[in-house]
Amino acid sequence: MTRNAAAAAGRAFLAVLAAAALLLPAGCTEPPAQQATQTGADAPAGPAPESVPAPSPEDLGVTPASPNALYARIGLAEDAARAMVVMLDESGGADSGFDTLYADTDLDGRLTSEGEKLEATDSRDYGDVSIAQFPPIDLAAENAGLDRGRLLGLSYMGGRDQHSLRATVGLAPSEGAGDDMPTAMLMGEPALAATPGEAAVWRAFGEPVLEMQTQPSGRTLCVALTAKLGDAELYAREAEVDLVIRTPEGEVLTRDHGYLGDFGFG
Amino acid sequence: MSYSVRVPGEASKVVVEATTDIGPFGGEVTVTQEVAMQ
Repeated sequence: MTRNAAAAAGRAFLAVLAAAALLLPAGCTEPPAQQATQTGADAPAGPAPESVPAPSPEDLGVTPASPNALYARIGLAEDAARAMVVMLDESGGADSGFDTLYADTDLDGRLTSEGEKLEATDSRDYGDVSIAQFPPIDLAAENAGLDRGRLLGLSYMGGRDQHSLRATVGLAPSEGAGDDMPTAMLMGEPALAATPGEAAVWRAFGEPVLEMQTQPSGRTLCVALTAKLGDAELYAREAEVDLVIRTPEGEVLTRDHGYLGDFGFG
Repeated sequence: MSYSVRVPGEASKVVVEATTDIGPFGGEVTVTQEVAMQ
């Protein structure tokens, strides 16, 4: 995928995500109260992820303009052996607003390579809260060993003492899918800290988990499902869901069918 | 995603089972929960 194509696909992907995030589940009017979690039966047991050493701020090779720079570490490889350090900076100095992001896309432990400094493409200030959207990062072009095209979108939201980084990873349908739009996405909030070493690694991949929350109301049952890979929520339009409700004795009362990517299905 | 499902019959307790195949992202996953109907 070319950088321009990646950027275009990334912009479209992020626009879809932004729209989706505004939707509330159509089938539920109350927050589901009861929860169950189960991991995939075929999930690889595997060893615990390796401890990923974090570089010191000095090792990164960039002096932030702001004393309030924040760091995150994003685990991207399936084996969790590597983590990308990102640094949020305020180009205008302390309290000027986070508008610059450095990402160690070549995983060399420094933020000095070409293309690793990203300026916000969209910044908005709402008084106490500001947001900044950074251009998507074409991971496949920068990282050998990843098995499918991925676009990483990062955005900042915060103000005063509250800061958050939202990460979205777009997954191409298959290796060599070229410029196809991602058909699945992972979403989450990597932890931010004053130094890389204090930031827990956010893992976008890992053992699949399906969480279910239920809330009965009369004879109507609200069922909310969330799939996760590692620390990230998974939205996959191609992932079908079968829902069966039965008595404890095994009599099937109803069946339903949908897709994980269908926000508000039902 | 969420479903709003009408549960037929008068069972005071039901078992909800959801299965999804997330294919290349991790295979089939199933979750089951017993729910007391109000």
